[in-house]
Amino acid sequence: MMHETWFGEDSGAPSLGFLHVPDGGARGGVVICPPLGYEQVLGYRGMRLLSQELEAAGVASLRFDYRGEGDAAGDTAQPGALPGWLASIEDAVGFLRASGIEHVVLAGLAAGGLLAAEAARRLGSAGAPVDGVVLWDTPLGGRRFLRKQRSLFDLTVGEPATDPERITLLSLTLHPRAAEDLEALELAPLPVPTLALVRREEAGAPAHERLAAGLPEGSSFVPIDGQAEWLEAASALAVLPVPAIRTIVSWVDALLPADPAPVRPRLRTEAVVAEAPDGTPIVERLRRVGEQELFVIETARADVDPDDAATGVVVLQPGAAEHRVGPGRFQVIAARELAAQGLRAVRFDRRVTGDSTPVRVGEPNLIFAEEWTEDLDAVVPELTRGAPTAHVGLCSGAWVAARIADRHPPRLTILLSPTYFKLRGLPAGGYSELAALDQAGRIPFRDLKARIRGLAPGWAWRIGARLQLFHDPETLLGRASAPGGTLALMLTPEDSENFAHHRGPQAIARLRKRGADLRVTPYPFGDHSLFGAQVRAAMLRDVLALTAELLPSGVREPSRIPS
Amino acid sequence: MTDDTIRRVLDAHGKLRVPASGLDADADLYAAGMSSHASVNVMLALEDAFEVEFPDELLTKQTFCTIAAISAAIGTLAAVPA
Repeated sequence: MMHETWFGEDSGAPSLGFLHVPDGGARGGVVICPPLGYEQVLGYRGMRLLSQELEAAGVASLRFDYRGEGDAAGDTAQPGALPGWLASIEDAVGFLRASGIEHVVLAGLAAGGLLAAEAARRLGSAGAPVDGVVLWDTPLGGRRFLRKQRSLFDLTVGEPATDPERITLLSLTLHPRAAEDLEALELAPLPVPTLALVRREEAGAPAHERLAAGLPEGSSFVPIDGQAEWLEAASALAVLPVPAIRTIVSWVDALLPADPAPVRPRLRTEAVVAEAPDGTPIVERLRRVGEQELFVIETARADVDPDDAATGVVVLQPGAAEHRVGPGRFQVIAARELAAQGLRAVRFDRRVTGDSTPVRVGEPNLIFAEEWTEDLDAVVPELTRGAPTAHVGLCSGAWVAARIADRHPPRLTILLSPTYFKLRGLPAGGYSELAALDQAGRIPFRDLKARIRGLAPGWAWRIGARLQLFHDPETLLGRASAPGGTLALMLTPEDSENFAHHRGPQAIARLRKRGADLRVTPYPFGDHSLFGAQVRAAMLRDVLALTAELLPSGVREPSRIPS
Repeated sequence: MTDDTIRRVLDAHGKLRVPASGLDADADLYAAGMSSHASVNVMLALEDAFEVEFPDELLTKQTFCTIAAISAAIGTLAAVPA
């Protein structure tokens, strides 16, 4: 069974954790240390699958966010980020032990392995050693990891640095001091049984051979396949590395004692995650909502009544098939800022993302699929409780927000980087198929459709669009801009280009003539996914300005959390 | 020699849809299937093979878009033992 819980408040910063406990007690527990950066996004569902398989083998596990990452309190871009991440791992170990789990293994994926190894060393020095460590596709050192991440950011986003105190990577922002700390980490054999899973193409490198030779008794060094297809793919195309996951489960199964012990966790569904500038605590509550039992986090100031139907509510949704980590952390930061304004904010995991539904191997993703509009349709009444509402969605989340607007008319809908303007969704897995065809350069009729779109007169184009042959901003946005509501579009340069390609500006002009309150903000910089710090900050500022203007606050003097 | 090494690295890390030996030096590697992630792996493997380090100003898509561009970039860097 899986339980969501806050933990680590006693050491200064609550982290969000997901505890998996087998029926009848656990033979031991695994603390799963996630990667840093975008690998955390891509690896998330695989780590959950590992938890599910460990549970089936009678082993508990805890998945969690490092301080300043995901839903944990704090901000990663601090000089002391690395000690904070290590403290999170120690908190997670402490949580399992306090729950009655004596035997603990650390399993670190990618850069999480560097942190797991360092935490294992510290716990050993403190007289509380762990029983074993799993190094899963872990880089040989922090320097190589950071060089790869910096190169990846430069080659994909290429945004010039504007703040000397922040190094922006894909889904990770570091203070230069924290980067130095991370660069100093090097992988070396540990004094506890270790399972090292290494990419087959790298296993013969001299440094890996030295690592293998230095592992203590009870250790294994196993070449694996499929990591690039999982952690270096587009998120819609990532393939779970099931054989590697089963290798870990087998090794842990053999390491731990056979007899289970009772597990009695102290579960916390509420935590103070930040403070408003006037010192009022900002509280987050964990819930399950709807028939699918979708995982929800509600954020509000402690002095705002969560049931007050007069206080504005903002429903946040991420892009792609992502959730609250990586680019999705935009939602976490926005939720806490919105709460400081005196609003309520809710974020939730749609099916097949994050922690709402269990992982099933081979399940299709639901990007731009009708299932996600059904999810939002099901949870909106319970989450908003009749209060004035805003929907804020990024890319695929923007499409869902626009689609839902005619069923639950909001006061405000904000579409960040919208790209998909058809009313009709894609079938389950359809987006992945298109992405695979695109990657192979084989989208059918792409050139023909582009030619027709470019040449067709306005009336013919609109007929084609109504028939869903083309994207149709006018129909989608028209439904989302009902009288009494405001619809805002925030567009990065590539989204502006795509919008113009689908004749969006002409649709905006026609809808405005019909009285719609439409606000379009094109940004001269930034990337579609909001990896860039500059565009992320600009969109957050503009989202907060619109919500402050159009939604009623639950407090007299709304404020912003100082950044 | 440099081009041969680049093609070997591309075959091992570039995730191209076709063998690098069959590509013109001016063929667009991204159009041939190389992703951003793959280009970073190519870069790291090139650094190992040629014992060089690409400076920040060369970390652009243009540097890795063709075999000729990669070869030119490596030519501007220090030792080229391969």
